[in-house]
Amino acid sequence: MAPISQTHPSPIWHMGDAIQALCDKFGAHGPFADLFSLMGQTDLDKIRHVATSVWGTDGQHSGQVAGSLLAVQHDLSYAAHDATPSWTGDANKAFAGSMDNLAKFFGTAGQDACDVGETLKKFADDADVSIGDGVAAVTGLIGAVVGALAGLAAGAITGPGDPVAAVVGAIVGLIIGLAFAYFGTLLPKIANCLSDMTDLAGQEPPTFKE
Amino acid sequence: MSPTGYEVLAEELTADAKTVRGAADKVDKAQSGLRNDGTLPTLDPFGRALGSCLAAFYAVPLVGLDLPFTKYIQDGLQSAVDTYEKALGVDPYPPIRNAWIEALGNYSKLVRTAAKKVDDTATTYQQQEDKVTGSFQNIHAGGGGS
Repeated sequence: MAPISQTHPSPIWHMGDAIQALCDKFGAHGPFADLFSLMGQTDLDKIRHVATSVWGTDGQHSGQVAGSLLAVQHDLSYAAHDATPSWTGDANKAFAGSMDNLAKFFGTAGQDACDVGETLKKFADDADVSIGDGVAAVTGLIGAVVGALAGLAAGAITGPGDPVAAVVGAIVGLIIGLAFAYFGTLLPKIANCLSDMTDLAGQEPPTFKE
Repeated sequence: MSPTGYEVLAEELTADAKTVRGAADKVDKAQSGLRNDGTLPTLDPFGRALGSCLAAFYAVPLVGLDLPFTKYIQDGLQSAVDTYEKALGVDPYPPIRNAWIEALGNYSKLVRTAAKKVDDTATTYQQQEDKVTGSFQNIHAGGGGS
């Protein structure tokens, strides 16, 4: 398991620092340092691991939570029908009916736990694809920008009044604009996945009704 | 001596109660697993990245990027902000995990209650057996008469 900055290595994760350094050079204080680096810290593999191993994503390969709840469903069903062959009559029928209801409830709860796992996994997979595609598309460009920004911040130009600085600033601004536009399209995709989880957060786990 | 019908029933129900208690143990284990291994601190950077993006959106004009395409940039970022504003700064995962940890505790109690009912049923049948056996003993104890 590794953060995105390692699974999708790119200079883009350091671009915030480069922009911030340039802003500092001109006495501006934009909150850019975190913009590009924070996303790179996210560990999508860890999210996938929790989704599959802890929650579970389907009936066959269920994680700890869904797997346990589905196993309880099986155990209760066994307890209702197969564990007491000598027991017959009305009391047994009432007992079996009650345990069947409970077993059915645990089946529902297990499926709901799978839904949580699947939402987490989908978030990680979608984010992985979006970031992978996006980073691959802009890495060459961003590498040049980060180098240019670092040079500017190091004092290659004197300040905003310098005509060279104006031209370079316009070019850098254009490229920064592209980077922002890139994030402007990437973030909504990731936000959509987060929205799925937000919707899930509004749903309580099932409660048993006799 | 072969066991009576009541004894067989009591034994089966006692074993059944054990199965149900085992099911409750599985729920406890799931709760423990979710509590110990189900944390996701890694989602937090996403939330903070989104917050940072919003701050950057408002800061763009302040750092001299007042260029013809600034409007384009701002429009793009605004659409991003609009999309994720609902989740901005809020990691939706912890409430989900916390709700399930609590629910699993309730599920465990539910199954243990069922196990106790099965145990009680076994005891009821056992008591009936004792009552029957006791009545026989009484007969034998008092049976030396005439």
